[in-house]
Amino acid sequence: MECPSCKSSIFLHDKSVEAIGEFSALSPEPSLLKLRDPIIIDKKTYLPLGKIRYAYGRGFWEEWFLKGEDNGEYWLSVDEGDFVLEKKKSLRLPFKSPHVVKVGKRYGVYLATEIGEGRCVGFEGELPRFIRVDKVHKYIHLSQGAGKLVTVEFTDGIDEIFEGEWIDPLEIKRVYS
Amino acid sequence: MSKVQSIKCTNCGAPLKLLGGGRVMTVTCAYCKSVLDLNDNYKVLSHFKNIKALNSLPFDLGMKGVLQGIEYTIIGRVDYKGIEYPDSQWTDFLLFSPLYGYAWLTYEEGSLSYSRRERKFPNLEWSEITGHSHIVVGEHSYETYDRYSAKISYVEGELTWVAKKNDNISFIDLIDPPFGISAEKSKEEIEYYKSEYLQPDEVYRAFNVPEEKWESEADFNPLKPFERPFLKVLSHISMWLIVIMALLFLAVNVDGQGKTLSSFTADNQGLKEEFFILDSTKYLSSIELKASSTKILNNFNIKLHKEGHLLFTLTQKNAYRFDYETQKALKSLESWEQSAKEGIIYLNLERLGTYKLSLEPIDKSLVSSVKVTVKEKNSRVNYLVMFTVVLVISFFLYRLLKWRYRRRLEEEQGISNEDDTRNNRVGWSTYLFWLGFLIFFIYIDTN
Repeated sequence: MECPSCKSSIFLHDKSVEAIGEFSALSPEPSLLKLRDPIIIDKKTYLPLGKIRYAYGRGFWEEWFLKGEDNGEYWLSVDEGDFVLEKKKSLRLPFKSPHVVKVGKRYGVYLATEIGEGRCVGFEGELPRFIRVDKVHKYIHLSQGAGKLVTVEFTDGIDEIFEGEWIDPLEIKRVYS
Repeated sequence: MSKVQSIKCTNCGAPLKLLGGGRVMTVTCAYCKSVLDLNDNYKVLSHFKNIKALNSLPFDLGMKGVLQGIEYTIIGRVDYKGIEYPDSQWTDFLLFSPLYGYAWLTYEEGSLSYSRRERKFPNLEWSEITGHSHIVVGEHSYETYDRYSAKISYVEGELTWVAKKNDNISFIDLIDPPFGISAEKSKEEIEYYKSEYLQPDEVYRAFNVPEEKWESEADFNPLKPFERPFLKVLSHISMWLIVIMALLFLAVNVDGQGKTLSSFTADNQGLKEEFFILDSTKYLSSIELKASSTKILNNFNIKLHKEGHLLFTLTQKNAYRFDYETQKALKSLESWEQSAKEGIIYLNLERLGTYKLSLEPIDKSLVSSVKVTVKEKNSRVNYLVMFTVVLVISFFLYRLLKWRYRRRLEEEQGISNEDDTRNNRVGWSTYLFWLGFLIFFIYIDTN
């Protein structure tokens, strides 16, 4: 998590606290979400705990770490009006290496719609993993149709797989609006 | 709040404002029409020099307005010209909201629609889309409406993709008015947009467009829903009333067809008096007279008595009803038409028992005879016919207008009516209506 005073990152071990020396002051940007301000998506409540900002080209997108009412961990990707709510999954994908994937090609039930990368420019709040500023984050979007999406995060091999769906931002409601 | 960034055109040095977000890839200089690559040091990618916009439109770049509760800024413009239909041309304005991202405001002959990316479209190949008559996306079942291609003819401001002059884009439009889906295929990708028809004056107000720039809307837009709420309700009510009327006609026809009490012939030889006994006061009683000519029918004066009390008289020129007790004329009635050679008199006889019907010839020298039939329990609902006709018109008016709207849709689609059996499906309400109408005509025919 991030120290609210000095913006240093603090990594929480079981019983100890370790400052890891990262600074992550993020410029304020307009957003539908606010840290610790619960939201409702499709009648389910989520609490935004932290966010990571990635830069690409001239813009950026943010990955918001949410705790669900089922105590599950969710990620809400926010990119200029495009919202995707996903949860980590262990799926068997119809390819061994992410490097063979090409946009527009079908892989089993999946259609590769986007391959991209962004550089971490900062983070805020509580996050479930250790984040390094400047680290490049690569991803593949695999569409299952009807708004269902699988995101594959990778560096050399497949690191993590997330499954979820596109969310209409107009469907996101704040609990305390 | 969106941030406004200023740059200088690398071709002509003109100042340019960037109003969009990070996904904007190009900006076209308003002065020299060069298309600059925002991801590669504003390198000039192409230009739209000496190319004029299609029209002077009511919207300009930089205008702000609230659509569907979202504040947008118009950041770009793309003009398209149809390839198959060169007369068809329209303009897409790119809208940007820092919170809700990008959307399009489409202007075509005064009609306006608003579109945003649709992510829930099923994974279909391009060729598969037109193979479906309807495609369900979310809560809507969209009808495949049109397939066409267009080329880019003009570009202004910022865009999230690199647009070049004469770039070809294929479109498939699906409609469920006022909503629609536009599937768009370029060389690079297929994208889906959910559209919604907007009332032009509301959009003009939202963007503070001066009234003198408001354009009148074209009479037809496939996304504009066919809405005649009053006529629709009237048609629905009429349908049920026609059914009720038909059943009423049928019931009355069976129960109130009349029971003959007396049937005789009167002639010019002298006064003819005939007695009949009324057993029921339900519905009306009737006296039917049939002659071979108008002159013969008019040669008789008719009187009706009960127990010596005059109840009714009819002459060539007038008719009267009398009060049983006071014997005062209650009502002056009109006699039948001068040209009639037969007629029927409906009377509401309130007392049961014996009545005397008298027919007296006026000119005894005129050879004449008239056939008289007296009935009880005879219903008379013919006065409801006009009401039923009004109901039928009310029922059909909405359907006629809707049919004309469908025809227009088909004409725009270029679909032959014979080929399109989908639209010829007959609903249960139509069957119900025709059943009612059939019963009604059987009634009319038997009376």
